[in-house]
Amino acid sequence: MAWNLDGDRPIYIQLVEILQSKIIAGEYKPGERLPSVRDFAAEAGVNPNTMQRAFANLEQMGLIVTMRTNGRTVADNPGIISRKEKELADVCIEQFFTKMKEIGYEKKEALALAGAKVDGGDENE
Amino acid sequence: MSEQNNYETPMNETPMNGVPMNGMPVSGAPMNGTPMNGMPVSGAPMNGTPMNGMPVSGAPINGTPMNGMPVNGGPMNGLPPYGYQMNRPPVRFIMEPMEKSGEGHSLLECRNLTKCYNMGVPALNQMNLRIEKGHIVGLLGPNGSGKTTLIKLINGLLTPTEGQVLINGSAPGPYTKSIVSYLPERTYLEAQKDVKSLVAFFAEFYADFHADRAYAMLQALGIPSNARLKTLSKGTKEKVQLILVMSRSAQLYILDEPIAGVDPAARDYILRTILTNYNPEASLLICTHLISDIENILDDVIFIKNGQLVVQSTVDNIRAQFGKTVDSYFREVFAC
Amino acid sequence: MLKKLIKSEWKDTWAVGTVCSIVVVGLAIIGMIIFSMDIWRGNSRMNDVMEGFTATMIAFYFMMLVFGIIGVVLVVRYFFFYRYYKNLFTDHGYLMNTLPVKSTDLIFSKLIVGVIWQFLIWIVVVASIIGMILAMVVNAGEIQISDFWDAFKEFFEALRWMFRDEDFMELSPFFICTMLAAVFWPIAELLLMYAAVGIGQLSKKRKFLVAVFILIGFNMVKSLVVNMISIPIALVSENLPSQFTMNLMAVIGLVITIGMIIGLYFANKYFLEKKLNLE
Repeated sequence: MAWNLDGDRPIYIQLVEILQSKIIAGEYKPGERLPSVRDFAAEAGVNPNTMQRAFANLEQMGLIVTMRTNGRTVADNPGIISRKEKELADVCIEQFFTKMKEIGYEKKEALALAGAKVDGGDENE
Repeated sequence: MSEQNNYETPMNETPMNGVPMNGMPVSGAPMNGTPMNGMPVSGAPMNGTPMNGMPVSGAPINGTPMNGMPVNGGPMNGLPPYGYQMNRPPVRFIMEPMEKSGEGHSLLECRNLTKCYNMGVPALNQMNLRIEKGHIVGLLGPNGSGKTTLIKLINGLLTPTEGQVLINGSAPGPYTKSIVSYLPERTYLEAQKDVKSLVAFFAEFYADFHADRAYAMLQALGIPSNARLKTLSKGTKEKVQLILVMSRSAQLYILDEPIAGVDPAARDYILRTILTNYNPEASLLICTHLISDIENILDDVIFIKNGQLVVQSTVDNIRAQFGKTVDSYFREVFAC
Repeated sequence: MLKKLIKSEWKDTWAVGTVCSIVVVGLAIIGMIIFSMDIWRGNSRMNDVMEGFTATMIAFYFMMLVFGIIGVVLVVRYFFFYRYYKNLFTDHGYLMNTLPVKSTDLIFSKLIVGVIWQFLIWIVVVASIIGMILAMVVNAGEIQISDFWDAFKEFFEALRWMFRDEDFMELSPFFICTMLAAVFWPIAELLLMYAAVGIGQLSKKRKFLVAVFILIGFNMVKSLVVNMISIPIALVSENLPSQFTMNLMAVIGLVITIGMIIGLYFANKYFLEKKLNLE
């Protein structure tokens, strides 16, 4: 089944995001060999050139490494990965604040609500 | 690879399809804090930054022409109003030329290609087009736009009134037919023949045909090789035809409506087959109305209207520039 | 590629000619049986009613034979007319015209197979008729097969004597031309049918029907031309020796046939390459 992609954004950007998530989530470990562009493209249901572009992007970001003879592997650099993780988290947090602002909560209020939810959740366990 | 800071500088590596993206500072965009929900990246085409060397005077969204050519009261899509003269090429949105293959010949080239039927309005009018190897291209346009004429001209089933069509530098003939694999829209195989003899026929006439590939695909779809075509359902017949065409190692595949008469599951199979058979030395030209189904697997798209090329671009460029799918963009461009 | 096309064409078409041949041979066998029946000897042991009935059946058979032979010859001929259209100008044309072959190969492959079948069916018909005559004659009693053979030899001798009036050399042009024409004429006929298809497919609808009408038109023109040529020749040659006239007409006929073949070949090539009008 092809990956679920939005229609209004360039595909390769979405591929970068998805692949990044997979790497950060540990689906592909540092140093692990990645499937070929073609296989990945077929699995994702996208054009191999587009997948290639996404890979190139990831390579520039330092998340994957191309070896001459052995194809592509996830960068054997846990530092980069955790850094990306933090960045992603940052973005999510910004998004959270933005959305809460739309509803009407300032940052401090939003934080308080979130904190309450976390504590409340702990109590119920 | 340069050791630049990846987050701020635009990506200046040329992707496989030859389009330099140095006008689009999107690489690493998600990383520098811009939200990832599809909102335009700052500095991106929405505010008039040149996309790839093409001056864009004002964003296309507000109706201004896309390449500076004046359009009198044209609609959002930059197309001239109806009744406009045929000689001037209409507004176009064209990407940089694709990389050429070795000998300097494009895989497919149309030079001022014109075809008139019976002294009437030309079905194709001064079409100039180039497609290089390693691309999957969507040929899109309304009925009567000249798509079928173009396809027939490429296959040597029609001769041009003016201009040329060249495949690997040669005019249509036995050589080009040996490197072009064509899937017509209709059932073109003899109904009383069985699948086995059709495979044998293709193997006989096409040196690049792989019978083992064909049988593997037939088996995967559960199509018996003794079956006569006329006993198969329409969808199965289409699958057989597609399998035969894709089992060749051609340089240019031309698929006319490959998924139209087929159920969604089979469509997935067909698209996956197309992707797994992808060969960077070959190109695919897919002509279809089901744009949203194939959009993701396309590199580039070509819009044809009234026998002329009105858009040639990559899917990603269109999405970046207009923030919508090719399907939606098509509906705009060709709104009735 | 031409060989492959011929093989493919043969595979697709041999059934029709074979069935027709079987029909003819079947009719001939029935004929041979009939001719070896007793009633011909006049000393049949049947009563009048039976005899009348048998006579009717035999008359019926002869009718079938004539229709059968004519029908079979026509079928074999016009089948290839239709086949050329169906294989190259209907939806199958999308397959055939995109094969990596030259258009001349397409035309030749069909021409060769078509012509072979024209000859084959004629051979079958002639052989069947001879077979029946043999059966009839042998059965008539006193005549043996060897007698028949002697009769043939005498027949050829008589022919030779007939032509011995003039120079023996005079025999050759006429004979040769006639023999060659017998080979070339079916080729020209077939190419004429193909040309009719080539024109017919230019129309938007009912392409084959148009082709049929065009063929009828061609045949009418053909008869007209033949008459127009032979009448002046006949008039002019009143004062010339008949031998010369015969040779002249044979040569002219052959030249025209060859001219037709060449012209029609190029016409068909043109239709196939430049004027293909697939739906």
